[in-house]
Amino acid sequence: MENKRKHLFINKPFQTNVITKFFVFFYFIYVIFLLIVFTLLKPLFEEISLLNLPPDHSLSLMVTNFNFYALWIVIIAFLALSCFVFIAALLLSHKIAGPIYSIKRTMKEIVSEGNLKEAHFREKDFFVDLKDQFNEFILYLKKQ
Amino acid sequence: MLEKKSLIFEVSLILGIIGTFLLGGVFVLSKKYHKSLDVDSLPLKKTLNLVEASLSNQQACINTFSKVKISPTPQKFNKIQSSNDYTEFSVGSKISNAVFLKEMTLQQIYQENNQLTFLLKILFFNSFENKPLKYFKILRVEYESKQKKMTSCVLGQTLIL
Repeated sequence: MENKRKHLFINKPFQTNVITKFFVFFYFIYVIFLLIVFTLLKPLFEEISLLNLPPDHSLSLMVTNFNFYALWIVIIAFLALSCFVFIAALLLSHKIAGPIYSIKRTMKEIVSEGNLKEAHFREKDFFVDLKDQFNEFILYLKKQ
Repeated sequence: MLEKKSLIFEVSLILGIIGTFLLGGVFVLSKKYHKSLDVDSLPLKKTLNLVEASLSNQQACINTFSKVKISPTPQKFNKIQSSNDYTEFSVGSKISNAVFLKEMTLQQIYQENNQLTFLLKILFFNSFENKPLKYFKILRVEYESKQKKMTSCVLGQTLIL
């Protein structure tokens, strides 16, 4: 199939930009979320530490367990979500960059071959109306 | 290199699988964390350790079990005694706010000459969750055959259900 793109990056600067912005946004949301959680829990932990409980007290053990598990859950969840954010950013940027790439390639081929031809987008690409408009334009030129 | 060789689908699939595995890890860790917060498990563990520590003393073991009738059917008894015959643990004792000791039984399961093997069953009960917790222990006991007197008492494996 001619319109099946196999490259991971079809417009590297644009796609890198989109992926970076996605990550910055995700980090921002994640940090804000963590800050909210820790702000809510901080007074509780301070109160517990003021109780001066022995280390084998159930409440002290709960705090120790929380500190250990919370750290690992935050790290692993961050890595898992980073994977999904990357996929989302990559797919979205691909669907935006793809149509522009197709139009550019068709225009280049028209110039190099001297033949008027229609552009083809992939099934799930965005801006299908751009392709219709472009093809309509090509058809108009052909009639001329 | 990646740009020329990889298909977007393959990269997404691999990252999707990694992400799903990591999320699974989060789920597993959360479960472990919740399990570690089980407030009743700690006093229960402490109590069981105490029972084991107590019964691993030969004299305490003899003091406790010599008063129980030897039978292949489970025989209820009320107390775990220390080496100086002091009651260390008895039926009805509260382990935590929710858990108490409901029952203790001793059952003969095997005999070879003057060596007897018993099954010690301790049943705890969580009154908040209406859930029992069974603790099994194998005991090997040696008897002086003529006087039917317990001469040695050795604790074996543990099983908690």
